[in-house]
Amino acid sequence: MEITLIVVLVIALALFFDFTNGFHDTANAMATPIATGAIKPKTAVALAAVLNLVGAFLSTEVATTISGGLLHEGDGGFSIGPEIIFAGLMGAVVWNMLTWLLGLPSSSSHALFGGLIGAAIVGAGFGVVNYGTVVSKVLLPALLAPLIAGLAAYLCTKLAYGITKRPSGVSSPKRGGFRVGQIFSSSLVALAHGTNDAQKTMGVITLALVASGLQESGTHVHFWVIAACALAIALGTYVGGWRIIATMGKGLTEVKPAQGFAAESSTAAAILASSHLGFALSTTQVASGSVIGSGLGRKGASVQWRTAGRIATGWLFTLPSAAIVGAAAAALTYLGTPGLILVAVIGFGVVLLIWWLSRKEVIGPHHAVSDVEEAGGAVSIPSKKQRRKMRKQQRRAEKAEADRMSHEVNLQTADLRAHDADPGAAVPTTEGRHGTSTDNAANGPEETR
Amino acid sequence: MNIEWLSFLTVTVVTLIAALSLVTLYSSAVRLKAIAEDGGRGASLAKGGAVACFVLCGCLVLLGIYLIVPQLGGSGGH
Repeated sequence: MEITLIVVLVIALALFFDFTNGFHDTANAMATPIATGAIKPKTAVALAAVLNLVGAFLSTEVATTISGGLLHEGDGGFSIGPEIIFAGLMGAVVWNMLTWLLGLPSSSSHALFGGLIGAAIVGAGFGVVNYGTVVSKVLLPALLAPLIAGLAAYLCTKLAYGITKRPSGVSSPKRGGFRVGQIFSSSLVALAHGTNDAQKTMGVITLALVASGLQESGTHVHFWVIAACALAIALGTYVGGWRIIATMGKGLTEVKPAQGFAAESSTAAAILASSHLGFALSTTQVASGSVIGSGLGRKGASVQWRTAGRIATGWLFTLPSAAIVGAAAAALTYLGTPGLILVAVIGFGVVLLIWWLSRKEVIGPHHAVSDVEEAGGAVSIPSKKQRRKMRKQQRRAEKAEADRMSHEVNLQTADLRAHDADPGAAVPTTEGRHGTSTDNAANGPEETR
Repeated sequence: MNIEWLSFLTVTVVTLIAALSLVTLYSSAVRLKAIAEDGGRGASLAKGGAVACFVLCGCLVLLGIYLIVPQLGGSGGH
């Protein structure tokens, strides 16, 4: 009886995590087309939700990595119980909500792994974590996948601009087709997100089922688990993410349709290839890698390294922070049922508090779009090329002004000399003109110097 | 510790090939479409080429999804 209640709790919390994941990651897929105006925010989010749903059904490799490889199995099944998984999930959920409130694009996957690892260590000691799998299927992909995606995006951007380069005299817009293309490429990203991220939750639920003896170890993910996770992530995607859309779309780099298309193709390719091999990587990090890579591929594009650094720091903190929260929650479960209830109550309280705090500032589709538009119009950070051009123009203008002034002075002094030499000049004006002209003559050389 | 370097290499190569071929096809299509819209000689040829590139691009995406989904009989599922 006890064990079924805790399993139900784990499943509910896992599905809620899946929901926050969709909530958190809508931006990865849809920030760029929204920023370039290729698609309306509402439509983009609906499309992303449907594709996440479809993507969740496509593959189960990542789920297998999580349920099968992350934690060691003892002789009689797992040495950790569902309580520990519950504590780990709580760590992940709390961290995910917190970063969402602060508008940081952190990684939901790392929050999940961090929470689970922290809780498992407290629950069953350091030996329970399969560090080999953690390194080869979680940490290394986390490091390499954004680099791979960034490299691909860099090359793709160069290629896309190279191929579509046309002589300046032609009438048709050179890269108009990419705006429409972006709708497709970002749809692919949403699909890829479903294949990787929904599976993480499936993996956790399967892990809980195996840990409580309701499912044989090493068997496939149940269909109802896949369906529930797919629905949860789709719902989460639909409901949320405006806040992150605002930071991702404008914070990192200015995105043009051709560039966005290249970035998204790379993101989708990298995630789909990784999902297929069971790498549980963070879609957020891959998307950010692509966006930066494609930014570097553009002539004179300005990547703001400070923002990039801030994001990277957020990533570094995600796994350990979630691990600490997970570990604390796991420590509470040592108190038995009251401890478990305490974890549930505190976690629920924190989630409610964060939700309540976020309500104070109403975020909606209009907010996102007006923010992006503002960034495009009012803020408009000039690219290097534009800045160089502006500086050149300014210098030219200054020089022209100086030349004109000295020329005028010369003219005036010449005029004056001629005037002075002329005895038959009109008498009334002579005095005034004489006064100013001597001033000018005195200042003249100084100014032209 | 068993790190699957070959898998990382596979991911890198597959990502690069997939993304680059997708972008090449789509960019070519965009360029040919622009040429066709300019009119003049060879406009219809360019239009045909653009459509062909768009279709190939779509096929490439479908092929990629086919390869990933085990239920469709691709190489998925190990």
